[in-house]
Amino acid sequence: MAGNATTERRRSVQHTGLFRTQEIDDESVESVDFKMVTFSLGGKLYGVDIMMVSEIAKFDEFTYVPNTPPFVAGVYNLRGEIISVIDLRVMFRLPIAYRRADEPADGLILRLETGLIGVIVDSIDRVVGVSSQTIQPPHPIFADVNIRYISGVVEFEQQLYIILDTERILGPELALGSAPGAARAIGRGAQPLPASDRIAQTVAGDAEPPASVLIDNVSSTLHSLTDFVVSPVNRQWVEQRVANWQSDHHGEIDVTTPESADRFLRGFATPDSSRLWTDEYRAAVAELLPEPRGAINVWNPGCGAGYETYSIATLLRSVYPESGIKVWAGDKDLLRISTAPNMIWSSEPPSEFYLDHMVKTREGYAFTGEIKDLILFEFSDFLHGTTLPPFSIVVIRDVLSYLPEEHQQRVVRTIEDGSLRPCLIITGTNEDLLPILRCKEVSRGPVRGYLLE
Amino acid sequence: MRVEYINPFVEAATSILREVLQCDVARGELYLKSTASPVLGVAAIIGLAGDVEGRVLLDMNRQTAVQVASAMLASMEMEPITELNDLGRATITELANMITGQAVTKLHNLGFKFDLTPPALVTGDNMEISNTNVEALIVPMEVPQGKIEINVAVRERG
Repeated sequence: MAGNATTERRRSVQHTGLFRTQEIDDESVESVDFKMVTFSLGGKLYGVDIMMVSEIAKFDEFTYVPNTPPFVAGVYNLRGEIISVIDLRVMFRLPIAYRRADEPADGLILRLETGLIGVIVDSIDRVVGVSSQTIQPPHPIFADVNIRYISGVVEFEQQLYIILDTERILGPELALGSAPGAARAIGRGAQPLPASDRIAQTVAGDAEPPASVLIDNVSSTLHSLTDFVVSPVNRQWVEQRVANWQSDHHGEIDVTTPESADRFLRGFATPDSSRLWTDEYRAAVAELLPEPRGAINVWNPGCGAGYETYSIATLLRSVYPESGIKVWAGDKDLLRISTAPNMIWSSEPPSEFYLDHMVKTREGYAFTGEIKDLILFEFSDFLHGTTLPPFSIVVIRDVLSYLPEEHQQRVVRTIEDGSLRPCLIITGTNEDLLPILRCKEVSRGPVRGYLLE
Repeated sequence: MRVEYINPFVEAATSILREVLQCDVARGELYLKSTASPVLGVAAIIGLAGDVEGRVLLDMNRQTAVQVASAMLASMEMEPITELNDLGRATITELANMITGQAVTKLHNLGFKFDLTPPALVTGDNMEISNTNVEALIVPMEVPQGKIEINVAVRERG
């Protein structure tokens, strides 16, 4: 396991070298690159890596589950999803602060490799950003918690925070019993984060670049005028755009009308959107496609009128003539998706490639039944939950940027839980997946791609 | 829900309601609901199987149910009802059967194979229906007797 983690880290570092400027790396030596959510337990302060925290919650109305260890408080209905809730104070045999029976308990929802889990704490403190270099290895006297559950200790504003290794405490090893002891006492939480995370947090975090106020302004304006959400996924593009816009408009950011918002966002959309993929784009995607291993399922949320769905379906059919292929495409815009199953070109399609997969009808060119049978267009909002077979390709271009961050998390979770590994994820050209998903970038030419392993 | 399934249900709901109530029927905007959704009070459920799995729900409040049943009975020259008795329940159940039956026939002509289960009628207050991970398509219909919602939740068998 440790070996894997190291390789992963090394990969992300290489990656960053390839795709980012060097200066951010240099700058981050003393900057905040580890953020944690802090809370108190039995009078002491603890922290967990913010990347592990799905949300901060108030738990009320648990359902008690019989025959479980005493630290299992019960199960909790989190907007329809049933999660287990652990009382950390009971688990660590700490005194439990008095609380009225009808008062909801403070807690966190953590995202572990095994899924979501809730933990109850005395009270949530705040989010603290520190430099990972100041995190020290744990010492037995620091806490009432078994040392192997601690990944490090850090001082911040004269307070000591004990950083818990949540994966170690609540992950699969919990069931297995003893862990290798103090040898691996510094878990991954205390290590300098993979470079990808460091970038994300430098960009989105406390060390704000001077333009950040401007970007916040633009961000709220865009959000009120369009559905575009400035988030770590697209923040890099927005920053660049703000800088360019300033130089073009003599320092004025006059994004105040829907028209100017559209003008501001011009250039964000992936070049090959709302039309069939060009030969160049298709060739780049083809290079990223994995080796065929049995049936290939593709998830294509936010497919709109279906151009990219047909593009990926025809490409897969030509690359894997023998494999079973199914593309699950969905959109919540009924008008656009309802035309998708019967798309017709009155004139010839943009590339001869598609002609091989089309038939000429009286109205124009349409895709053959063989291609249509590979695709399932659904009128669907994936926030309502999805039932997909395990998929190994995700085409989600310019969708995440139009979702609030909590919905982006839902998408990430759907991908993490529903995909076969390795899973190829194709995002919009100006979208960066690294801040929200631990994966590696495999972009090729105009195609922005990521591999989840 | 698969795009091709939408129109058959919309068309069937419109034409059957227009036929049995002999009146103008207005269709509201279609929308999607997440899995747990409240039920208006009287709901006829028909299960679907075959290429898909799921169910169709014909949903309305009690007053609308009584009036719709009365109108249907009146058209067959029978006495109208004042409360939701056995005859009324059977009438609403039959309405659900007609709409779903016609939709499934249309789907069959498009090449999709659906089987129906016998309908069941559920009544009560503050009811909620939930299906795990299947979102429901809501086809709201306005008739002079009130609002009727056709609630279709199906997923492909994977």
